[in-house]
Amino acid sequence: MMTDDDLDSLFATARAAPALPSAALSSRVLADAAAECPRPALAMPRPSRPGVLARLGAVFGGGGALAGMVTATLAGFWIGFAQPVDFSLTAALLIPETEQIDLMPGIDALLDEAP
Amino acid sequence: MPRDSAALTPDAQDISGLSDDALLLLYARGDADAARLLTARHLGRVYGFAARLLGDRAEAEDVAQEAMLRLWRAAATWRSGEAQLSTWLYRVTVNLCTDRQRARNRRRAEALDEVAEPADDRADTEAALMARQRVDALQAALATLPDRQRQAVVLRHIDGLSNPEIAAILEVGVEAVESLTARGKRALTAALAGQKAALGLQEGDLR
Repeated sequence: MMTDDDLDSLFATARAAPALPSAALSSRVLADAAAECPRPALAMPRPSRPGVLARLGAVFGGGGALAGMVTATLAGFWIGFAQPVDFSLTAALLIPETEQIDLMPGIDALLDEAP
Repeated sequence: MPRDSAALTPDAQDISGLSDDALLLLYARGDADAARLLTARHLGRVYGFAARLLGDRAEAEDVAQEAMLRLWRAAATWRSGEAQLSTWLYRVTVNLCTDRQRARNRRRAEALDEVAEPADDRADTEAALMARQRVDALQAALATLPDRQRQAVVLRHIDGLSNPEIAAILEVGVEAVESLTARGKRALTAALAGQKAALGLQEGDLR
């Protein structure tokens, strides 16, 4: 009479001799994995071409430097255009006396002469 | 660009300790090593289980490949923590095997004749021969069981899963699992009656 223990012994024998997948099956499964991959490594999106600003920034040593240059340009333009009073005062304080140096002594005569 | 792909693909040694869920996520991002690791972890079990249920290696290979294919296809929408990956794979495999068995029954194929596997080239020592006879006899007896009983018995006694795990795989209650395994074992005992001596199962020698 076959007992539970006998059956357990048969189960143990079966556990000790598992059916192993062949190398061919593993290859088929991995080929499926490569074909089905939602985002295959080979088809990764390339980084897009840098824009005009980025390329210009690279020329002048980075976006930060470019921003500084733009700010300085705008500030110079504004100072020249608006002539703020404070700026004139500051200039007067820093440069109390102005001296005139005539670099071209004979030029006045030429300019004064009427055509 | 090479820097990018290196960042997304840590080498295999780094990812070998990751969970199944994490590996599946990496695979979904294009990591081939993650697919290799998942295959190494699960293909053997899926294939072995299918082979026990179907008693046919070629069919078991097809089922195992199909089950893994469904895993790859589920990767993009996989929700971590919702179902254990191994349980999910078992469930898919059970369903695929059930479909095959129904188709086979419809064709009235002689399932019992297909059960015995062709002998492979293992060393035929007396012990190995006896072991193979036992495995073949068990496989033949398993083939006589109704599908659900066979699935429950194999999961419980060969794959060594707990009743709650089996209940999750078969999508039935734990009590139903207990009933299926009990009836399955009784049927196996009946199917193997009279083969005790031939299988070397003497009293007091249960090795």
